[in-house]
Amino acid sequence: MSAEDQVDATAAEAGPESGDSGPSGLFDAEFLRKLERLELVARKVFRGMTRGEHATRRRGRGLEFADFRQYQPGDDLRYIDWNIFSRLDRLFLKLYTTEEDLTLHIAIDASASMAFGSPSKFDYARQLAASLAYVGLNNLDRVSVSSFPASSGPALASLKSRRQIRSVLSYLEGLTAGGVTSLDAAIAPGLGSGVASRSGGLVVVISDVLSDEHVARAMESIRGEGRDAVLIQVLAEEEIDPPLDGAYRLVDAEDGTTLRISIDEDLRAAYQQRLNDWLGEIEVAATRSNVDYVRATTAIPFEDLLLKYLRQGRHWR
Amino acid sequence: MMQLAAPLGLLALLALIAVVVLYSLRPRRTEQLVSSHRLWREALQERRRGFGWQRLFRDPTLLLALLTVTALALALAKPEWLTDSATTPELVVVIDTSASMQAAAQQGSRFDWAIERASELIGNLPARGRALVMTSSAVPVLASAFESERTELDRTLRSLIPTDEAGRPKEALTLALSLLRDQRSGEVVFLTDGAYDEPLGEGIETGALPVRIEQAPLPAERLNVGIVRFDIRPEIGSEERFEVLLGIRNYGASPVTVPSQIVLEDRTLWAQPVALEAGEARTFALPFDGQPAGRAVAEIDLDDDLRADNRAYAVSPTDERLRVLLFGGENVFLREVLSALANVDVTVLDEFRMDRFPEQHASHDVVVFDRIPPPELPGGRFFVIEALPPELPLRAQGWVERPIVSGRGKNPMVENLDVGGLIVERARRVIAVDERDSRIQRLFWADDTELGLAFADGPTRLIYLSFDVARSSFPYHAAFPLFLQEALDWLRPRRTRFSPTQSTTGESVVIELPDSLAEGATSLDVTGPLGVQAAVIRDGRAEVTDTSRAGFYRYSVGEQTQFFAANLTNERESDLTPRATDVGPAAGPATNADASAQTGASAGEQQSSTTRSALPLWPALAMLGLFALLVDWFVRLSGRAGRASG
Repeated sequence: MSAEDQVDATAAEAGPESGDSGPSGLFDAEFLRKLERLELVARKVFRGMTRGEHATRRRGRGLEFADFRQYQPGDDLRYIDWNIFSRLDRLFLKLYTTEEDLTLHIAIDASASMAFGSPSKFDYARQLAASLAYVGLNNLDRVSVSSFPASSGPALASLKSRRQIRSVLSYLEGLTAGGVTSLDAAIAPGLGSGVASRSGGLVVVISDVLSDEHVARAMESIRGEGRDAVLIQVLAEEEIDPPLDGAYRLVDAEDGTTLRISIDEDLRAAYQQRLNDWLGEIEVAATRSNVDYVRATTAIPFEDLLLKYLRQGRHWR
Repeated sequence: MMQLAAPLGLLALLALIAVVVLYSLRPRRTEQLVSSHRLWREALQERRRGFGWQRLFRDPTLLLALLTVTALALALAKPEWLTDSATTPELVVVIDTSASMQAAAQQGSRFDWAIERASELIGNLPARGRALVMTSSAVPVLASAFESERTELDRTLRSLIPTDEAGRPKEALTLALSLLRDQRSGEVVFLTDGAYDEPLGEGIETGALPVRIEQAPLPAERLNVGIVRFDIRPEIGSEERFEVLLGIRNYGASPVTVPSQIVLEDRTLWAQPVALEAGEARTFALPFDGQPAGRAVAEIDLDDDLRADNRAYAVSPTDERLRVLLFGGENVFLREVLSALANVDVTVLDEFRMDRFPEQHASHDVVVFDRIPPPELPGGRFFVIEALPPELPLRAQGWVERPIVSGRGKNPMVENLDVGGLIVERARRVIAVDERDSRIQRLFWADDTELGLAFADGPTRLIYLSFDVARSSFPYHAAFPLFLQEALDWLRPRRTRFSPTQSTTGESVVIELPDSLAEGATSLDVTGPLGVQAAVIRDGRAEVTDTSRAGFYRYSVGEQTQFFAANLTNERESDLTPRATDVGPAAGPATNADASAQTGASAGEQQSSTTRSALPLWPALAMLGLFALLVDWFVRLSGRAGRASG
């Protein structure tokens, strides 16, 4: 099946239920094409990473012969291929691969602050989430998608098969940004339906992390026990370099509080310094908590961000 | 050291509060939605920790506004930078050069003493001391500027001479004090003989400056007799007899007999000894026959303390005769009456010749045309009878037989004329071209014609009678000679309307000049006892300013030489007795020069002192404020331009 055919298939799978597939929609045809290209690249990456190197420590259903290896003292004798020994008078082990399910949980920040920006961070985050979900589903991963705060809607849990992408798109399209949230308060309940209770898996949190003051604690809660975590921080260009100069009454998008302020070049510089400091704190906290940290702005196309991250291949093994 | 000349100006610093308040007022704020203002808040808090001074330094426009207000407020307080600099006192030496200073002192004249004393004072000045020399007589005169060069000042002193003028020391001291008004130290020293009356202490503001009067040492015995009056005048009630007035006074303490005489030109009018008691004054009225024309000198022969008042001078006014040229002398009455008029010289010519007329006209004051048609007349004075001169703006329309005189003007010429009785055989019918012509003045008229007119236009004056005088009753009128006299007086050209003959020494003399001489001339040479001086001519008048010497002053007007006399004839100035003097708080009674020399108290001997000068700083502060304002304006404009382009 050619890539275009696959795109058409994806579009067909996405169908009209996935939402507005017209040119102005969040997940339009162009987006879907991008998705497919992304998946192709991801597949290549996965193949290269897993063949011959991935040794599962688990037995179980779905074992598949992969390769032979010369016996090393200490190897499990149960896997010695006696036929080869009888013929070659040398000991070889049979190697098997297990198609282990990678549980991918995507948590997307749906607080009011995510609606900020042009394009909005929320749209960007949803496209990111959709892309990640698509890649995961195409790789037969188990995918869950949730949003926080909890009031923004129930989670979409344990999806498997690529046909489920329709549900993901539909779910994401139905989300609205609003309310107040913070990372540590949102992750555990949001993940409680499945992922948090199991060890292992990958959690990807997509948020702006602007309102979160206890970032270290938040990182710990993201990391959890026995799972890998990625924090994708999405910022708008207007937040990085605010085009403000003069007297303002700044209204906080999340809690509606106001701040009277006169912004000049000095204060703008002070804000940017403070922002850089905050981003640095987040990165340090993420590193300490062994949370993978990716910073993105809405100016970077989401597919470029993901491609770069996938090529790094840190979690898709 | 600084002082504030107007400390209330600092109240303007209150404007600083207004600047800060205005600056802190913000325009309406724009509402702006942000994802989170947490970081903005944190940035603001961090900046506010350094609020106040740091903010000020961050905001140049606020700084500049504060600087502008501060600079301008300080400028309003008029700060001055005070510095002390060493100065030496300045000395003004006022030397009395009035006539009495020519009198004897104990040694030499009083004036000689004053010059020596002044030289001494100047010599005692400190190294950088400065002095100014001025004289006091009828008017104060600055003989030098403030000068530190001793030789220069001495040269000035040696060039001074006493005058024959009466002194006005108050004016001189007032001027001297004004020269030192801006100085904080200095002194005025008045070197005089004290022979004046006006109390110097009244009306002179000395302030803190001392004025010292030093009096010349006088001889114990004084002999002083002076001429206090000398004049030539007509006798009262007579136009033809004159008298000489002579006044002599003995100021001495002893009786004296003085030989006295009066000489008029080369004729001795009177000579006799005059005996006077101590303090006595006598006045002589001496009649003489004939015209006292010329210069007269009165003299007393006495070697007394003051010789300047031993001679007096007088000038008798010269006889100004009117030169009249009469063309057509057939009218005997006219000829005879003209010739009989006082001070009129008449030349009669029967024939008029145009080629000779200009010369004849130039050598006569008035030209009379008796029924002879005048030519086109040059500027001058004319009397025309019957024939119509072309210059007159009149229209001739035949003749009027036996005109009846119906009216008379208000002119003095016809004031006494009984027009009602005037019979005229025939007169030209003439009427004015323009009744409102101001050049023409009607003298007398008939119903149908003008009979007598006066015409004045610039240098030309003309009297016109439209009838033959011989063929009228006019000559028989008693008023006829008077009419002619008045007419000639009106026609008389101005030579020197005012010819001064007597003046007082020190006073200016003004000489009025005829138009013909005043036009184009800028000065008139006047020769007096001290030589020739140029009297400046302005508006037809020459002012002789230097009459400091008694004597005759000669000048020429056209071909005529005229004189006037200047005399002291001031009883107070002739009185050499020192009168009381006191000036200001620092002066005591007049002291003798010896006493003042003993005390050694003189400006020349004062030590240098410091004087404080104040340098005003407000202009610099005002400029600073304006500069700050300009920079503030520039910064604001630049900011707006930057935002517009951004």
